[in-house]
Amino acid sequence: MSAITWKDRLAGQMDPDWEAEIDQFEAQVELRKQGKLEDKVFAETRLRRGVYGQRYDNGERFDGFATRQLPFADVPTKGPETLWDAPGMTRIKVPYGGVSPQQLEVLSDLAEEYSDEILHVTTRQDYQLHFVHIEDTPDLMRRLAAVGITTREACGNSVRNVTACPLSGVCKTESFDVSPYARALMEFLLGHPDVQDFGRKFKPAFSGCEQEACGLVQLHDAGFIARVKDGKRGFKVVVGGGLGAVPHQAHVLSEFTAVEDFLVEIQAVARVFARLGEKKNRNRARIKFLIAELGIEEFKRLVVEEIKTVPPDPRHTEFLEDLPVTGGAAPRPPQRLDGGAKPPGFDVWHETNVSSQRQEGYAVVTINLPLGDLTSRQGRALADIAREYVGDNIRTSVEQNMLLRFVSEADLPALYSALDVVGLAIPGAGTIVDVTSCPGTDTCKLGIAASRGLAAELRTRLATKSASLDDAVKNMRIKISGCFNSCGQHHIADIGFYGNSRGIDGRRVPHFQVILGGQSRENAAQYGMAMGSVPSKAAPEVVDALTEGYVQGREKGETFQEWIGRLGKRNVRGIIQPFMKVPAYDAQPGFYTDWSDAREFTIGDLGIGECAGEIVSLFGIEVMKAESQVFDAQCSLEEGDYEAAEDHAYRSMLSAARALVRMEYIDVTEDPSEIVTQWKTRFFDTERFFDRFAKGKFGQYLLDWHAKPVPSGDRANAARRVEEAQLFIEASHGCEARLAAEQAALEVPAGA
Amino acid sequence: MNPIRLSVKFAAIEAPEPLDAAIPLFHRFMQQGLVEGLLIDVADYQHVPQGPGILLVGHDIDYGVDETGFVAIRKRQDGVSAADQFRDVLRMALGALQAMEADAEFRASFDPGQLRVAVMDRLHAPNTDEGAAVVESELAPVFAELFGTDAKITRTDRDDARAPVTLEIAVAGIDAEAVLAKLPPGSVPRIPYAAPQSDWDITAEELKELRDSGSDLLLIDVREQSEFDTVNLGGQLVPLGTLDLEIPELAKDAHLVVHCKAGGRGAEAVKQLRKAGFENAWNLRGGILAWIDRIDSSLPRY
Repeated sequence: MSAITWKDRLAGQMDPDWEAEIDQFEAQVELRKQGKLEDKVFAETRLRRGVYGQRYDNGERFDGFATRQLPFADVPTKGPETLWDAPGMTRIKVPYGGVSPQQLEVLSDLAEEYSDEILHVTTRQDYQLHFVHIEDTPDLMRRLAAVGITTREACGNSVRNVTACPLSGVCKTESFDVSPYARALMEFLLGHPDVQDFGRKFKPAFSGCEQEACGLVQLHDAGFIARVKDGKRGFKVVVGGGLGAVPHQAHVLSEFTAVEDFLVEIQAVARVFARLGEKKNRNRARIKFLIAELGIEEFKRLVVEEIKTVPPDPRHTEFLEDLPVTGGAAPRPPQRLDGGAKPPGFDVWHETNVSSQRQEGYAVVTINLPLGDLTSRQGRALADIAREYVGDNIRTSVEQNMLLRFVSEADLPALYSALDVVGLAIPGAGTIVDVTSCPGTDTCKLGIAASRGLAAELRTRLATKSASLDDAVKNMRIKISGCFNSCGQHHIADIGFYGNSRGIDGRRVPHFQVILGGQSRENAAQYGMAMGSVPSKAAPEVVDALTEGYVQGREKGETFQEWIGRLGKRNVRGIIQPFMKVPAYDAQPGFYTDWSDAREFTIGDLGIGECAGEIVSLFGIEVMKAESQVFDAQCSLEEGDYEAAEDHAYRSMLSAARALVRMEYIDVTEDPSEIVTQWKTRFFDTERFFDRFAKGKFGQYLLDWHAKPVPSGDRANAARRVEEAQLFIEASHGCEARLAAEQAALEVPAGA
Repeated sequence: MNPIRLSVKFAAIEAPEPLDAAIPLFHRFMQQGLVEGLLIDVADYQHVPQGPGILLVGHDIDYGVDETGFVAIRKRQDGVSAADQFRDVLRMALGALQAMEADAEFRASFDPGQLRVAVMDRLHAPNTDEGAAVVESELAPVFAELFGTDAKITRTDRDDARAPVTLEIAVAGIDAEAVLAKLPPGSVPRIPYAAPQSDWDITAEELKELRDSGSDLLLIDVREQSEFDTVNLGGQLVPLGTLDLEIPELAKDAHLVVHCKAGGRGAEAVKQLRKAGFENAWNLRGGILAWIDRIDSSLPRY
């Protein structure tokens, strides 16, 4: 049989630019394979095309007893520390999360042929496929391009997916449908020469209104909120938001930018960012750092100046004459739901998963995807269902669900039954059961704890008692990240968690930091604060204690956030405190493994001698002081005493640094300068403090602060400093864990 | 035709309950190298309704257990024909089935005589009459060679032209050992004798030594009557399910050796016995198969 290829089969069916670009990528894959393209160059090339490294792509895996080499055959790598053969993740960017049934079918095929039959929806409306081999990626891209989807600039230092409120076009509170503008922005910036030279990624988002959460524009690099002024459409434009390790709220760039001016304005923003943004230190390279440094007023001035220098481009306004069509017409006429008999389970599902549209007689149906996952088979079934009931009106949401829009209300019972057959009629969308989670240790290189494992456990537990939950609890949101990078958006949940770890008697124990008081409404206008770390296995009980405490203690009409605020951090900490203790290994070994994992979560259990044991305990005692100081800092912050918060934060960093120094130099004094000098010489300059990914990022926080330890008294600065201190302490724990592991490795007898 | 992926799924006779049990099982597969393939990680998809359950993801093969069966998905076989890929993945899947059976903790059974073969490649094997005909023409001779001409082959993908070409095969009274013997050799010994199955294992060689020395030991066979009838070592038949009834009848200080087919049930039995206070109870690692392979090859394998 002749060896037909996808390249032949799909020739001419793609956008010619995309086609050429994929051919070029395929050639680069071949060159890299032959060793003719440098590691770093190839890494940037593939990342720009959405081809990402995954956990274990360095060829090493901890199997529960020891770290083993995975016997991959080929030597070349596809980037620093990324083996050629190791399968990775492919991110597929879909502007505003809108897909057609045909696109959904292709995505399903690709998951089946190249991945593990799972389509994963991300918190930024992307799709991700995992365990994909790089040799398969050019064909995968061709098959997507043939249905109008690109992976281009889905990763790397580029303009990432353009997200938008999934209700745009059907929402009751929006000013107008933002989706055509989101698509126009995506098309304008994709591959644009002015966005190729960023020091870091750039994430835009659109929202139809200010008050709801859907767009989450406050946590994006650039956000566009629809506004109508004097009958003219435009946007309130905000810049410099972001979660990441230290969250920033966005600043207002313009209260109103008319739609004909918004592309030129964002182009000017891109040019300023490309020109002045940090390039070398990727940890300070997001636009939020540039804006924090310049101040928003100066940044605004630069953008206004820049607009004058942007060469005229018909594309700035051309799109307005022919606004891209987003979502086709509804295939079914609007019709009210009658009072007839409903299938079993319909009412419960209807209550949480169906909302009415602005358009009379139509409804939006949310498909609750557990942890954002659906199978290829479900994808195909959903395509059929969409064709019958809603046409092209499928969207993904930042809560990792899918939405069917323009469902004629009379069709709801039949639609429910069709979804139910393929397991897609899970109720509880948008309730506490609908836990959001990033991939965490499952597939992410950066993950520390099993965010998906915890999310699945919480889903199961909460679903079983869902019926008995108080309504106020039902409406709460839980979001989980596997590490301090906030892909799970833990800062904007009622209850947020991020993964970390603690050393207990020479073993590592997976933990989650509890983040409370965040808010996703008003486009994520309030970020939560860290309350303390609990062992991973105790996290579900913490959820129980907090929700029960809230139900019993709340005042009439009080939201969870208001209750947390009224209680104050010290009292809230009192609720969490009983769960913070880790039981002895012999009593409950389960605490020393993570959710959905049989392996013991440890790197320090190999032949630890007394010496190493002593080091661990000494560090443990010292670092406790740092933990309590950073907690004081949070309390001061809450009480509005910003100077005190900054001072406590600084002192907590010093204590953590001292804890590390004391492991080697027991006589170090309490003098800040001596601590910093000793710590810098021993741990920072030697790079022992550096972890593989963040490098010197967290260490730099202490050096910056120590260089100028004068409190500003400013709320935003104080909040940032407290976050930085928390991260510095985390990094100190990480440093100690690495040292303990090295020590342990030294003490394993030869030949073991 | 060289498809990009090809899978074999055995129907569950008794699915693991809960499915969770497959997580440590798959970790043991990786830790001890009990199955073929370059294995990367375990993925838990239990939260997905009708999803893949628990997957052991590898570089060249994925293994998976869900409520309906056990699947092995062969991948990255550039230039290898569908027939050879099928032989390969079938051997890997049957090997994994034996490793499961030999596992002391894992309780589940799958039927190698009820299998479903799917070819996941829409370019070379689209689900059209022509595409399916190509798949059938390439695989039918292999099926006949391995399963005989009585095997019933049904195409089960006709309701959805977008699904992979899928063939269901029913083989009455399949002899998995005989099938394995016809397949090309793999990279992992079929029965993982080397791996410990309980804390109280003895090897076939040790058992032989004990018996030869005339030591006063009681051999207990915890298999079922039909297995006992096929081949036995002259032990006392006490099927695992009835062991608790038998325990009061046994002398606490007796020297006991239990065995089953491959060591899994034996490990469970020895655990129960030790718990009940028998301090001199042992499990024959690898079961009667280990005895046959290493000590007495005149006995029939089954």
